[in-house]
Amino acid sequence: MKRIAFNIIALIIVLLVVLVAAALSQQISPLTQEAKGPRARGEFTVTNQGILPIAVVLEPVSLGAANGKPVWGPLHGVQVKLSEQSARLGPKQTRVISYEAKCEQQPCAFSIFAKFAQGHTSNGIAVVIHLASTVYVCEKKKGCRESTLRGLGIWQDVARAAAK
Amino acid sequence: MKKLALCLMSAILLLTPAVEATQLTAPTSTVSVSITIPESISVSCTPASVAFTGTPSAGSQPIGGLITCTVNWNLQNTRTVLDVLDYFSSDNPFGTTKITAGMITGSANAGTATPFSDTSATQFGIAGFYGPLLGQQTFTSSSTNFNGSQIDTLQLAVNNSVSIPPGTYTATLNVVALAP
Repeated sequence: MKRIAFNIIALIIVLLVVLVAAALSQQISPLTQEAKGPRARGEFTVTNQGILPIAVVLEPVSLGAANGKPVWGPLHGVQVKLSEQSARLGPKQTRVISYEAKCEQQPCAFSIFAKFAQGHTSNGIAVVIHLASTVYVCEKKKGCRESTLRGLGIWQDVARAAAK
Repeated sequence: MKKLALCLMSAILLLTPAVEATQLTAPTSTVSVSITIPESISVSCTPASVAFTGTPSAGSQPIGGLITCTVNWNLQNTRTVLDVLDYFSSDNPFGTTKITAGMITGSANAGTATPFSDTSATQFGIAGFYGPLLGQQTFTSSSTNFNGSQIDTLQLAVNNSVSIPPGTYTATLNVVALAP
């Protein structure tokens, strides 16, 4: 009887360890990049920190603004070419994704959303995690993010945020 | 005699300290060291899916248990906000008009259950039907939380499941963490 109880407890512990390990997160980095345009080229990484394989779909979208808020929508005014549109990340795997972009006008900004989905759900609601890496392209690389967001009217510096 | 003199001379030369010798110092060479730690956000949500199986009801019934999302971030001090949002891409997330986004409610961190809607003020312009704001961090110049983590929970529920025809339905809930 004691042996059965011990085995059950051991199994529960193993399951908990597996679940905790499987729950480890998905990551994207860097979050923003600045480039001197009109052509930009770079890379970012997506990481599966879990122990189960995960699928990631990459979707480039334009970054704009409406009503003082960032707005993401279909690409316009910029062509973005990714080294991969989707990938399957093994446990603890990091994948480097490279991109090439050409902006029709400067400044321009676009985000690449990485959508992480684990497995297939045949019943119920599956949770998909979205993380974005955003590229700002300007005539001058330095300060491109700030100038682009200022131009869109959505720049909020930390000092101003503190005053609110 | 000559040998003795030679030995003495050698000893004197060897043992006499080089008083007037100039100290030689090699030029200082420098090695520049730089460390680059890119900004990052990571998110995990468990379980990866939730399901409702039960007797249809006119009331509200939970869809599975709590979805727990853990967000870790390491941001530059130019960020002002980090939002964690949850949304369905369409008003018919299960692929049938019998289940609309408005029939699904979300309760974030044990808060009020609110139906998913496309009028959320925090939707950040991504088209969708949003549930309650799952988590938010705000940053100021004096913030010490540019590197941190938070855990949020979300309980989904379905209203009026009695109107849903028998069948198996699937949907995708999008969880997005943004620090624009």
